[in-house]
Parts: sequence; structure tokens; C-alpha cells
Amino acid sequence: MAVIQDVELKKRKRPMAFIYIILSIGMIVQFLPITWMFLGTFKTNKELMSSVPTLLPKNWQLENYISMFTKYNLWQNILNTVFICAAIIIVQTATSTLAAYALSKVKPKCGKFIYMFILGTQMFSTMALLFPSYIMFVELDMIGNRWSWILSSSAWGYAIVLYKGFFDGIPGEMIDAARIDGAGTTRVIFNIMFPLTKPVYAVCILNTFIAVYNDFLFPMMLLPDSKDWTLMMRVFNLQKANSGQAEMYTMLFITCIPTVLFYLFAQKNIQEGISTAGIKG
Amino acid sequence: MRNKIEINKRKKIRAYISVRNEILGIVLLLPAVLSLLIFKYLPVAVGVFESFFKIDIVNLPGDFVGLANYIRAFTDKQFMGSIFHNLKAFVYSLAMNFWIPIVLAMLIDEIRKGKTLFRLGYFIPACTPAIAMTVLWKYFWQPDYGLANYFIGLLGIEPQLWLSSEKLVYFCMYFPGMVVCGGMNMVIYLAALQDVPREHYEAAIVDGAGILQRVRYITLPAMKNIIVLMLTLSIIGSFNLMENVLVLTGGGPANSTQTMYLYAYQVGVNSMDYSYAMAMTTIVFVITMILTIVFNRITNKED
Repeated sequence: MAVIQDVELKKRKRPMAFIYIILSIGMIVQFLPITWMFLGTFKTNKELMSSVPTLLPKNWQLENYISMFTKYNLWQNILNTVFICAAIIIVQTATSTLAAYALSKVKPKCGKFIYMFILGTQMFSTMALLFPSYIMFVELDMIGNRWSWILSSSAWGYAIVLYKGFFDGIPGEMIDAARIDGAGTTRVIFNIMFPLTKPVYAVCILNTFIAVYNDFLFPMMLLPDSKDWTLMMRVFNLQKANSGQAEMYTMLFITCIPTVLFYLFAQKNIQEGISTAGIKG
Repeated sequence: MRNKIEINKRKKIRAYISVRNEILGIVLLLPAVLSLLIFKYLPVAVGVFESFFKIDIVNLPGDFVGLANYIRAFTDKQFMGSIFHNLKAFVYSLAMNFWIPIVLAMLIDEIRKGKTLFRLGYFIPACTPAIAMTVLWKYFWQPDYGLANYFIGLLGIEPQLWLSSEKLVYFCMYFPGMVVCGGMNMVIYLAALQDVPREHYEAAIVDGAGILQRVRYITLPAMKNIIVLMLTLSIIGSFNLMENVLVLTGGGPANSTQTMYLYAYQVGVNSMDYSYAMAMTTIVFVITMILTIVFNRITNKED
């Protein structure tokens, strides 16, 4: 229903067939690397290195998974990942919701200045913060403490800006009505602001999750001990150590599962959130 | 008399409410502002401050050296060369990755049946973590047993060195983005396409415009804003490029992929020269900031 109109399609069918063929080929190609990786998890190293690679493993064996979980403390890594992601998402959502509510509805006198202050943080790249933050945490004696990562990653100005933009769209009368019915600030946030801006929360939380899940440089400096590592830090270290291909594929496959699942579940909200928010950054 | 008392009372209540409001606002803002101040502004300030010193981690901040670190950066051939590598990476990403999601979104927008299937089919593979995919592709590019050499062998081409070849390494960096091209960007373009007024196409058909003309004169102008925005982000992204390169090539071969941030990172981690590293990150930071401001100016003017 777009560039090519239905009227034209009745006359000529070829362009549409052409588009379908291109898209189908493209889609199959998309899945090839992942499929190869997934099937690789059942192969032996020898099989993966053979000069004539075969797609399907000769005999399906779970040896790689077993050795990954016994050799490295993967359960610990998974637990760490869950804990850190959850903590960052909770801290960040809580602080930025409160701040966005204050900027949008309470409007204290210093609000404008603070809004600029928050916008300013968006210019800072992670690399510009990497070494100074590290030195700061060394001074504070917080190396090896997970909260150093959690607290510094949960400070994200963009979330506040985004939430504020959406809270602005909620009419003040709605809040006044709730207030007359006896709702306090907490209830207003939980029962009015939050449900009305769900897609934006979905997009924001997903972005945070992906960013934290993929992060390894900064945490590698903060948490040198392998018992504190997340999955992605484990991946980074394994690839540095040049471990076997089959093991690596298994590790990579395990790290892919959570993000894909997360995206699949949040898929509807993401589409909605992007088409309403117009995500950037 | 009575009226006056009433007015005074009201004034007091109003003043009380406004003070209460101020306090509530400040209390609500405090956690976010404090965390941004401590974990964003303070480190940047520390970084800029420390870049004028020769760092001594036990005895901060160390000896004051003035602009020595900056002078060293601007006379460092490796650092100056790495700016060129960033620009090269940007050109490659523009040529090989940037336009593909736009075309893909247009194609998906065109079809009548199975839109959801294709959208998901392109979206899901792109959801995999970027670093995981980089590591996977590193194995594909292996010269001895990698799949890349196997496939070009089938076509009768000599095996290549791929990541170890200075000519091919940028191609190898951006080829995965050609294969797996959906993801967030495609969804954003797809959302932007929904806003193009459909009547314009009908009018264009009446005027006798062909398919390509319609794309050229209706679709692309309507998407201009979002394309410019994504272009800005991709420029900033290529100046911030480092994690991918670190994992894929580590800067090699012969430093030909060493980006500015990667060089700064390697200086910091390998030789512990944090103050020099921070001087370099400050320079990159200023460059990206200027670029962002210039681009914002340009786009705002055109609106």
C-alpha cells in the first residue's frame, strides 16, 4: 500500500514477485550464521575445522554444553548477569521516573536548569568516562564491588528526557482528578503515569538491558575477579584466550538466548514505542 | 477587615503550597541529579583535570605537566593516523551498511501479505548481542579453516587472509552488517514510512510518475529527517568505534584498524599511562561534541 498502488498490481504482477523473492532470500541468509553457530554447538572441534564443512553434525552430542558448565562457573556468571541487569533496571527506572515526574508535573523553579543539566550528560561517551571512573572507584576502594558498576550504569539522562516527554502528554486534569480522589504522589505515578506510558518503558528498559548485557570493557576494569563476571565478560575473556571453536560457539549461543527472548516478548511494545517515541541515541 | 484576613490566609496557604511543591520537586529530582553528577559529570571533570598531569595513581593527581599530554597526542603519528582510520570506517559503514535498512524497510512496506513474518524474520537475527556476533564472524574469517575461504574456494578464488590483510580488513568489519541487516534501524525506518501520506502516491501516478520517480520525489524527501538523524548517529558511532575492533582485530594488522578510542584504551590498559589516555579521550570527546552541534544546527535550520 505504498509506492506501488493496488491498481497497478492488477496490471503487472512481476515487481511484487521480484520483491518477495529478494526478501525471502535475504531472510534465509539472515539466519545462516546463527544456524551454523547453533549446529556447531553439537559438533566436535575436529569436525568444525575440517576442510569440507558440513552443516549438520555427524553425531549429535551435548559434550560442549556439559564441559562449558563444568569447566567455567557458568551458573555463577548467569546469576551475576541476572542480578546486575535487574539491579540497574530497577535503580534506573525508579530514579528517572521520579525525576521525570518532578520535571513534568511538579515543576520546581530550578526545573529548567536541571533539564539542561540532564540533557548535557547525553554528550558523554562511555570511553570518555572509562578511565576517570576507574580512577575514581580505585580511590573509593570500590574495585571488585558490584555496586560500582550498578550505580554508575544506572545514571542515564536519556531515560529521564524520554519519560518527561511522555509525561508531558498526560493532561494535568487527570492528576488533579486523582488527587481529589485522595491519591498521593506514589499512587499517581504507579496508577496513572506508568500504565499510560508502558510502550516507552518497554523501549527504555530494553535499551538498558541490552546496553548492560553487552557491556564488558568497563566492568572488566571494575570487577577483575572471575566470580563476579557476567556472561559477556566471560565471552570476552574466552575469545582472548583463543579457546576451542566448539566451546566458543556454545558460549555464544548461550549468550544469544536471553536477548532474543527479551526482544521477542517485548516485540509488540517496541514497535509501538518506536512509532510513538521515535527513538534516538 | 474580614476580607483582608481572608486574603492574608489565602496568601499564606498559597505560599505554603508553593514551598511544599518546591521541596517535593527537589526531593524527587535529588537521586537522579546526584547520580548523574557523581557518575557522569565528576568523571568527565576528573578526566579533563587529570589530562594536564602526569598521573601517579598512588599519589593523585601527580605532577602538573600542562599541555604536554595534548602536544604529545597531536605529534603522535599513531594517534593522528587513527583519526584517519575512524574516517575510513565511517566511509565503509556508509557504503556497506547504512543504506541497506532503508531499502529493506521500503521493500517490506511494499508487500501486502506476510509483512509481520518478514519484519520478524529480519528483526530476530539482529537481536543477537553485537560482540557475540563479532566473535562468531572472527571464526568465519579464519584463513586456515574459516568458512569464508571455503565459500570463495567453491567459486574458484584463491584463499585470502581476510582480517590479517590490510586491504580486506575493513570489508570484513562491515560485511556482517550486510548479511544481517534488519534490527532496530529497520524498525525505525519502517515506522517513519508509515507517516508518508499515501495520497501523494496516487497523485503522482495520475501525473504519470514511475516507481523509481515516486521513490525519488516522494518517499525519500519524506524520510529525510530520520535519515539525517541516523546519519548523524552513524558518524558519532564511527568516532566512538572501539569494542568491535578490539574484539575483531585488536587494531591490527599493522595498526591499520586502530581507532582513536582503541588507541587510547590500549595506552591506558597496556602502559597504564592514564593521563595520556585521558588527554586523547578528551580530544575525541571534543571532536564528537562539535560534530553533534554542527549537525544539529544544520538539521534545525532546514526544518
